[in-house]
Parts: sequence; C-alpha cells; structure tokens
Amino acid sequence: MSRILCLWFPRWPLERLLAAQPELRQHNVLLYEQTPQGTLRIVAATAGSARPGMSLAEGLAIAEGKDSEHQSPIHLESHDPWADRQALVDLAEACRCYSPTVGIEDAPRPDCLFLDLTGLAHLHRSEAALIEQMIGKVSSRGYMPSAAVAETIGAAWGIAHCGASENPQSAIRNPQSLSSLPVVALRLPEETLILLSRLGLRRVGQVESLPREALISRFGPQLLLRLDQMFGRAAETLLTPRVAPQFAAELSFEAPVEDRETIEAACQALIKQLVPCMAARQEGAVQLECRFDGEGATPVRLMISLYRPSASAQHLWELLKLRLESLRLSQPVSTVHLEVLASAPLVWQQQELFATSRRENLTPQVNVLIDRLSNRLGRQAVLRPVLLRDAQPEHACQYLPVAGEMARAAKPHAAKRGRAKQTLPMRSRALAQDERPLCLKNPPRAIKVGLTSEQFPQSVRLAGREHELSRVWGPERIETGWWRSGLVRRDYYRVETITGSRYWIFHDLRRDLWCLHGVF
Amino acid sequence: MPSALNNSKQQVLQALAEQIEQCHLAGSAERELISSGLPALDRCLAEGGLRRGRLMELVAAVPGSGAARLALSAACHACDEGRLLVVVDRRREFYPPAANSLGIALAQMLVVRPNNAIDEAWAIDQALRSLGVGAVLGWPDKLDDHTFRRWQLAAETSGTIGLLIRPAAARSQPSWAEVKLLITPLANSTDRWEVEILRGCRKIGRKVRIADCDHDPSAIRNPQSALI
Repeated sequence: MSRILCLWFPRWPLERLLAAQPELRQHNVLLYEQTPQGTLRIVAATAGSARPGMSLAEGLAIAEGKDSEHQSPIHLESHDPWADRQALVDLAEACRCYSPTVGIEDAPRPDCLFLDLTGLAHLHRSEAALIEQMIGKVSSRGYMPSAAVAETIGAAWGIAHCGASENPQSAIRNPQSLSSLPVVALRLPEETLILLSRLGLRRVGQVESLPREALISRFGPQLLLRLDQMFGRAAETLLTPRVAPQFAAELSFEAPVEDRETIEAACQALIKQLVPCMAARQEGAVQLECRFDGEGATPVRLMISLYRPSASAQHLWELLKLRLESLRLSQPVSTVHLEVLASAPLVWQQQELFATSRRENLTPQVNVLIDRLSNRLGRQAVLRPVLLRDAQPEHACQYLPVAGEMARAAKPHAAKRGRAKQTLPMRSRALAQDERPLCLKNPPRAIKVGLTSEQFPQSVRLAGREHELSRVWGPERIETGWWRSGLVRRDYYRVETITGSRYWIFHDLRRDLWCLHGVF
Repeated sequence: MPSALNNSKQQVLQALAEQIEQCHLAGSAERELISSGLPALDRCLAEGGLRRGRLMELVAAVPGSGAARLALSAACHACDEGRLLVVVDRRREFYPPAANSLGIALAQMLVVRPNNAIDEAWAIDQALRSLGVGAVLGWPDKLDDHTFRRWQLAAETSGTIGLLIRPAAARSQPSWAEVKLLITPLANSTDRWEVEILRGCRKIGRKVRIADCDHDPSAIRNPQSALI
C-alpha cells in the first residue's frame, strides 16, 4: 500500500516572495501579472479583500481602503512564475531528507509537493511524527502548507485541498471518505467543473456512481482518468524535478589542486563527458551547476543559465570559462562536480539550400550572445524592455531578464517536446505619445527653475550653471498613480536652452517642486 | 602667405585622408551600404551612407544635444531582417518608450546594463562580434586605443554597426570610427542640429544642417512672448 503525502501551499507565489524578502511582511503586498490582453490582474495579495483574478486597479482601491485603517504601506510586485517554480524545486530538494522520492505538481504553475512515504514511518517512530517534523521544517522557512496523506497522488491532492480538519491549528487534513469530497478535488479544468455544477454533480461520490460510458461521452476521458487516479485504478507517476541528476559528472584529484589551468582542464573534460549523454537523448542544458569542493570548507558553486538549450561542448565551455575568469578560489580544489540542473529538448532546424530569410539563420547567433552576456554580467543585466500602459513615465516600461525565458517554458526533465519560439516574443506595442527623451532620470532630480510672470519656465539651473531658455513646449499635464504611493500631478515641459540643449522638466503640483526628468 | 601655406597643408592632409579612406574601403566593398537615416548627411558621406561593419562616433557638443536620436535613426536602418539592436546602458538612463515612438521595435531590442567600464567595453565588444546584431548603441565616456581598435575589428568581423555617443571632450581624441560627427544643437531655429563631419568624408570639416521634422512648430510657446 502506497502512502503519498501532499503538501499544498495555498498562496505559494506570495509565500515565496515573503520568505525571500521578510521585510515585506509589514507591507500590504499585491502580486500582479499582465494578461495577454494587456491588462494587469492580481495573482495573490496579502490584503484580505483583494482577491486573485481582480484587476490591479480594483485590488489597489480595496487595499488603499484597508491601508487608511492600518497604515501599512502598499507594495506592488510583478509575478515571476519562474522564480516560484524554482523555489518549489529548492524546497523539494530540502525535503529529500525525509523521502527519497519528492515530486512537484504536474501543472503549469505548481504549488504542491508530493512525497512518497511508503515504508518510511518506522524510521521516524510514526507517520504522524514524520509529517509533524516535516511541516515544522517547512514552516521554519516561512511557508504555511496544508498536508494530507493518502494512498494515491490524486487522493492526497484532493484531501489537502478540500479535506476538513478537526483542529484548525493543525496543518494536517484528516483522511475521510473520498466520495464526500467536492468535485474540485478531482483536479479538473474550469470548464469541466462548471459543467458538473450545472448538472448538479457536486461530490466525487455522485460522479463515481454514474455509468462510465456516460461520463466519457459527456466529459471526455480526463474526468474518468482523474477518478481512476484518485481511487487507485490508474497509475500516476510522481514528477520529480531531480530524482537523481540525469546529467552529472565528477572528477576528483589525487591531491587538492590550486593550478587554474588544471582546474579549467578538468571542467572542460567534464563538459565533454556530459555533452554526448545529452545529445544522445536530444536534450540540451538550460541550467548548469559547477561545484568546486575543497577540504573541509563550503563548496564554491557556479550557476550558468542559458537562453536556449544547448548540447554544444564549445558553447558550454565558453560560458563556464567566462564565469571562471571572475572566480576567486580561496583554497585548493579536491573535486570538480558538474551537473545539469535543468534541460530541455534541443531545437533542430532544417538548413535551407537557398536561404530566403536571414531571420532564422540569425537566431543561434543571438542565443549565443544572450548566453554570454547573461553569464558574465548576470541575469538582471541583460534585459528586454516591455511597454506598460502607464501614464507615469517612470512606470511606462518594464525590464524582463531574457535569460531564463526558455527555462520558464520548459523545465527540468518534464519538458514537453516541441519547437521553441525562434525570435524574441513580440510583446511591446508602440504607444501613441508625445516626444519623450531618450535618457530618463529615475528618480527625477530636483532643480531650480526661473519663472515668468505667467509661471512658465524662463531659465533652469543645471550642474551649478544658469541656462536661459529660448523655447518651451508645454505644459503636458500628467495626473495619475493614485493607486500607488499617492496621486502624481505633474506639468511637463520640453525646454530648449539658448545653446540648443533640450531637457524634459516638470512641475510637481502637489509639492510645488521643479524636477529634471529627462535629457533629449 | 601663412594662409596659403595653411591651405596647401589642408589640401595635403585631405588628400592623405582620402587615400587612407580608400585603403579602408577597398577591403569592405562587399559590405552592404545603409542609410544613416538622414538624407542630408548621407549625401555628405563618402559613399552616400554607412557601410555595415563600421563604427560611427557621435560627439555631443553639449548635453541634451539629441545625439542619441540621430544614432537611433541610423540603427533603424541597420536592424532589418530580424537583427537585434543592443543598447549598452551603463548609466541606466536609456528610456525605451522614446525609442519605440521613433520606430524601433522593442522586441528587437536588448538592453544591457553593465556595472562598470570594463564590463561595458566587454559587452560592446561581444555585441559587435555577433552576427545576429544589426547595431550597437553605447555611451562610452573614456576610450583607450586598444579598446577602440578591438571594437573596430569586432564590427568588421560581423558586419554590425557600432554607434558610439561621446562627450564633447572626445572631439579632439583619436578615433577608429569610420565616421565621426560633431552634433551641435541649434537654438531657436527650424533646423534642429548642425552636424560637422570630423572624419569619414572627402570634405572633412563640412557642416550640414538637419531639420527636426517631428516637432510641431505650432506647439511652440516662447517664454519671452509669454511675458507680454
């Protein structure tokens, strides 16, 4: 009899963020994302009344209402599903001390961990003691899980999400009759749940009692599959992010080595050892870790992220070499360990005899450049700008790291095969707007401005020098941002000095302050 | 007499500059010629435009001269057929919405934010070497000969155009760029810029005035007249 534990984190994106930045616990945090239609919606919020799925403006209005009572500042954060998944994988790794088989939920945005506890209870006195110990460890990291043990993955998931608990303080859900669980416990798509609700089928038992043929014809095969998985009639495999590293290699020296060339040669040899294994399975590395173990000290780790999966020994070595150049090893190295943390199917492209478009041929070159830049300068230094529909100039653009986009789409060893996009995704959209400066000061710098009797700028004082203005365009009123830290009311002017220099300045009407915001 | 000597010296220098230029161009005749985005400037350049695989240096005579805008007009032409525009922005001041409104597709733009001058030079070098990049835009403050020469060779290798916006102090510094322009903004004029060709033309020192078509004169409000 199998024993599967499900740990469900109901507000995983938020918990992950608060665990990473504990200082935000004093804030009213709103996590948002951009929908394909371009609107912003809430993913999770600490504000009690702001619910996931609400528009950001609506959520902010509610949060500001609460804010006036509790005086807690509002913090807006863009949702990062890749970081969520990565944190869940890390947590799965941390739980591996309790069970050799730890898996994550097979979903686009997983928020559950599964542990196979079969035959492990006696090692921790009892199953309950094991679970209590594990929940204690997870809670110490700042997470609040809901836990349930059952004989199948489906049943454990259902009880963790929908099961009742006698003790509200306890995170452990009681095993109960699966038939009494609501149909939501079956992990079904939204449209199937709506259809079941319309037909008055609210409990698993009601669905289970219906003839199987009728269920298939009306709901398709998935409903039956989920039922069978819950009751153990159909097998379901745990999706383990790293059961054992699929691609890993290690090289130990006879005596600890300090010589840089020897260490580099070892790294190169390990890459050459790994690449054929990946190529044989048509997989490429998306994330690679190189670990240097010394004697009795903490190992030094180097992480390499790739924009597109690669099984090219030369490319991987170039990226690793870039990182090695800036690495300072404080002690001799005894072992070099190389491991592919995440891989994805390689993208094969048919070569054209008579190339009609250069676009396809340029993609590999762009991938190589992005990988190089990201690995030397860091993921946060190589960015793709995305326009946002925000009137406040400093919030009209968002930067997204380019590296990791592929890893987000196809993650460790669970990646579905398919062609990846060949070009950078086209998300930006030209906005109709007045001329804006190509250099923006963020934050704006306070300056002194001489005014005419009609309150138009006549001169500006910049870098300790007074500049007379020859021409002024404006004002352009921007009044927005009431949902952020406060209403922004600015009158913007494009000004030209007598030497021809052009600046973008504004008058902050709320604080009666002049600021330089941009340079043309 | 001294003016006659100066004139002959100028002529000799110009003839030598042309010879050097011809030597350079001989090896790059197969490179595609693109427009700088400014027809008036194209007419003044040796070949009627810019060749891929070259550097263009834009020296801003004063801050706020709009040199970046001129550079982006050239970048628009260089980044065709899916080539990337790489903006190396160490100062963290580049504002993509403005570039977008000038016709640059942000999907084809990569913004790189190095932390120091060494990383900046390396990033520009790497971007210039990439075949997938159409143009590289950067604001290097100080440039040594080695770095400059390395960039020139990198650009030649891949056919990428390097657009370097330099402070006024760089005007008299030696350059490895094929074209070096001094951008002086014009005040109270229908023309926006006066562009002096410091390098890269048979008539070095020639000046050309460029109008700013995007500005609507009807929107102009003169602060002096506002006093009345």
